[in-house]
Amino acid sequence: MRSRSMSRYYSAWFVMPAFILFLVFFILPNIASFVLGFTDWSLFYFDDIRFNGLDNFERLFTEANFLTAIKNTFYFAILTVIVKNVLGFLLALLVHKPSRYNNYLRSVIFLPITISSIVVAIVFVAIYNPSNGILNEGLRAVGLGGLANDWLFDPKIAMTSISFMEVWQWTGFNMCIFIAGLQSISKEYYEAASIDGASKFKQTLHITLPLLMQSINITVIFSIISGLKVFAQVYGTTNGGPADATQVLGTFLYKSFGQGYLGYSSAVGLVTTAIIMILTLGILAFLRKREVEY
Amino acid sequence: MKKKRVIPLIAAAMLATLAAGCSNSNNNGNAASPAVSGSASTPASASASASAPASASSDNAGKTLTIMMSSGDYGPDTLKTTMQAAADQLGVKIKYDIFPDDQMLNIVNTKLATGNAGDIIIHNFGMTDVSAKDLAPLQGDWVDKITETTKPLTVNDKGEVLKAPLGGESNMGLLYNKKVLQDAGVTLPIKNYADFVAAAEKIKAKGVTPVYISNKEVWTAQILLLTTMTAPLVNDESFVDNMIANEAKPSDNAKLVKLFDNVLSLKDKKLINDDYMSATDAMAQEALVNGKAAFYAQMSSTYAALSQNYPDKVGDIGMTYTPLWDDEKDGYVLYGQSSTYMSVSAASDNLDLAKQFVNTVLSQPVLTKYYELSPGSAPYKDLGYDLKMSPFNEEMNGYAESLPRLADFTAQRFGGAPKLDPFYGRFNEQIQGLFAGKPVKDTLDAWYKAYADDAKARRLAGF
Amino acid sequence: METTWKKTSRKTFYYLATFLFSLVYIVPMWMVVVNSLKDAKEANLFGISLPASLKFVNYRTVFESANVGRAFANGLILSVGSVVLILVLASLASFAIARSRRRSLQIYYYIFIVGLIVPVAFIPTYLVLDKLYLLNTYTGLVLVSATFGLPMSIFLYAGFIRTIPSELDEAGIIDGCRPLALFFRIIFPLLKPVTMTLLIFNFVGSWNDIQIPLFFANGDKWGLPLTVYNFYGSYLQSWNLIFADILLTVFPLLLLYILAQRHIISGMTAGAVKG
Repeated sequence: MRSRSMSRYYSAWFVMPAFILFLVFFILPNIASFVLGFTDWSLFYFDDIRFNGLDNFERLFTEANFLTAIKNTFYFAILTVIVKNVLGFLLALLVHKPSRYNNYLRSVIFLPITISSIVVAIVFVAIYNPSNGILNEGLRAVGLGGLANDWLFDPKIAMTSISFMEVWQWTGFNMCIFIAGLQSISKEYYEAASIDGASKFKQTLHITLPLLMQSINITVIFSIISGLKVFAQVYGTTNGGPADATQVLGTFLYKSFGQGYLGYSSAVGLVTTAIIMILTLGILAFLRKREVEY
Repeated sequence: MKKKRVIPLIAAAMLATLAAGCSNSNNNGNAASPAVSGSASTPASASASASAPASASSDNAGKTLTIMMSSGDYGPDTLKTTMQAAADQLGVKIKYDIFPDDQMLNIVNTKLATGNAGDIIIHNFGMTDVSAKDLAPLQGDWVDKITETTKPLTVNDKGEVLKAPLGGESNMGLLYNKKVLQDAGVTLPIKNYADFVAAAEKIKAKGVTPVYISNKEVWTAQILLLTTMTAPLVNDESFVDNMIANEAKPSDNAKLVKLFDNVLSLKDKKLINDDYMSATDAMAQEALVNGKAAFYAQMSSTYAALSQNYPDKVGDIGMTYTPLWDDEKDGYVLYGQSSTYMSVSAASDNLDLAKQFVNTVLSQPVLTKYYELSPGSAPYKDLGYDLKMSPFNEEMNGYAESLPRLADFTAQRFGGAPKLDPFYGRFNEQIQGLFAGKPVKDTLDAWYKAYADDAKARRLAGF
Repeated sequence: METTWKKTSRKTFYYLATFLFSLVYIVPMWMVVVNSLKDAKEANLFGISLPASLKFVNYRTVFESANVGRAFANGLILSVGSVVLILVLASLASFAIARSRRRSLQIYYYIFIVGLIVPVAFIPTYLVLDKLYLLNTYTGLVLVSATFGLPMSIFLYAGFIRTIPSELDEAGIIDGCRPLALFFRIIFPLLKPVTMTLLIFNFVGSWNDIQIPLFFANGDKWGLPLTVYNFYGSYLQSWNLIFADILLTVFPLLLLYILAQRHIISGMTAGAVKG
């Protein structure tokens, strides 16, 4: 029975500290940014801001690099979501049973997450180096020199190389969430299925996957959001190059901001946020329908 | 329980590292140029310069000045050694705020605008957009001695000097390997594009890459054009006036288009290295000194890096201008502005000390030391003493006896004023795009759009 | 029925394949370690061979010229400060949001969630800090860092709290607990799995972050990851020093990870799944 006095146990006062912090350092700046998107504020006239209506947006949509950025961002997000989750799932299946060897594998796969993304990027610049990097050197050593490429600066494969680096670093995260999910599935389901003569594959398909749906939802949503927000991975490796071939929304925003176009970059931020929100909410709605509880 | 033992362990480990770190941080004020024994470099150690005449007053002792610098400038020892020498002479300590190259300008301007910058800013000529109103006007006897070429970049619209030039005035042109040219039977000077291509083919026949392009880094490929396009603009002043009034676009100028075509043709005729997209400046230097490439477009200030990294081979390298114009009459030798500048933040807490520091850097002992490490054409005239010039500068001076001396298009004075100064339009990126496969007309239009956007933000008339 | 031979060869294949796979993770790290001990010319070749001679002096050079000790202290102050702030504020807020039936509190929840998607607006935030005289202060950095960690933390806490039966609350209330005490004495200890998760993630996130210190503070307050830029300029790259610095940067977290690894993974998964 909830009486009126219960509300002081769950009072709005508990929320206030967090909300005030959030208001001052997040909401306010973002509202300012929203307004600024309609101005011509730049470093050239730092104290003198004028409204310029939709000029910034017009400029944005006629900017060739913006389309490239959208294309690259989507490619990166989709590719990494698929690979991170599929690979993460398979790895989870492989190593979820407790054993010392599995512990070793789990640790090794999860380790890269503790490294700063910009540091990972710099390390991969070294790995992907066309003449001396260990990737090409390794290929040449096993006789596959023909496959050696300019991984980061050949516009055709650069985004894929960067995506692979992201997969390398973050698959462990998805793997861990899946492991947790796997461990919470009762063994009885599998036993019952075995008795009924179902193959391991069928068991995976009909028991594991549906019961893992909630975990899959979580990882897919997080992978999509972080994929669309990608920045350090591209910034640290190619910085949008060569010649803007690997621009993504994050670096595009950063670049326009770095050029001193503060009003314009606020407009870019606005559009970027809108794109991310629409996509995320759409996928969220789609996934919600497919959740299953036994 | 393992967990209970874990936490004190972590705390202990962290405290230990912390303690070790703290004792080091006290020394860092003086350790601006530590013994870099891990890499092969010629250390001009700070102790040698400390014996310079002490003009320090006792009330300066113990003060620390903060110097803001980009990571690219911080790498080579030249600036660090020089700053330390000045600090020793003045009797102060210095510390550095290092920023990644591409963020430097933006962060510095933001900090300047809100009065949060350090005391001194070191910036190179590629970052001339540092906000003028937040810098302090500088005084000293060197102010009147700045050369005509560099002066425009250093002053505000009131004629006060805000940026003290330090680095030598760079020539820009083609570095070349003397042995390779000799071997292929190529003699200098080459006077025009047709002759250049012929020479390049001869070099190619000998199995050497004629022209090395390091397109991964934006600042090098543009030199091929910066050193060739000023003359057509100087010879056609009405075009420049139309450009700045937004009544003409670069692609409207036939000579300009032809220049771009000529430069791009180097790639089409396969006269450049295959890995140009991922090649870096360091790789280019290596190819050049080892005779694997013949020509490489660069600034004369590269002499410092070359003599540091390849002391025994730097003598094989010479420097000439870039003969990519069709008509010899469009030829010139490019004299750039000074490469590095020092400014003082107007909101600095140590304003007078910082100004004194700048003057100390520009005093004879310290300045001589800088030019020992990085020889070049000093941006000062009538100093009363000589500063070391590099062989590159001397060779270029030779060519300049028969060709005009011009600056790059942003610094060149048209009708008495550097009218194209705000029109850089991220030129370096456009040229990178050119080599990456963008057609000439699209490149020129992209450059136009970039500088038009800038002009709009700067509220220039006509845009 | 599988023969023993089939089982053994299956197992061998499994171990071999997975071990080769783990090499994909180990070889890059090995490359970093090994090249950090070479001299500059050798290190620029990025080989995986052992160094010609062990140049431990690289670490000393990096330690001194990049002021690693100071950067480490900065990282510690920033990360610990923001984590403590986040855990207290987020858990408290989530408690009220998860339990209360009132509409107004649910609106707060959605406002926080929006923060998961919307990117940071750097310059306006910079101006806010400036007006509050918080630029280049540890306080300012901690506040901003905490703000950015709130959405995720509230999301996880709220989800988890909903799984705690409210009978516990009622028991506490009947026993005469005041509201804050109810929360901290009874509920908060139960949140341990999520707290552990968030502690690790926010700590690591704050430690590895480069954008906040870069924009809102000067060099004397930067953490370890930014020290790399002392050596990674466009012009001269001494990869041996870069790698040595990378290891110094990674080392503290690595230590934490190795020691607390089991708790990290188990805590993380528990919180995430329930959310």
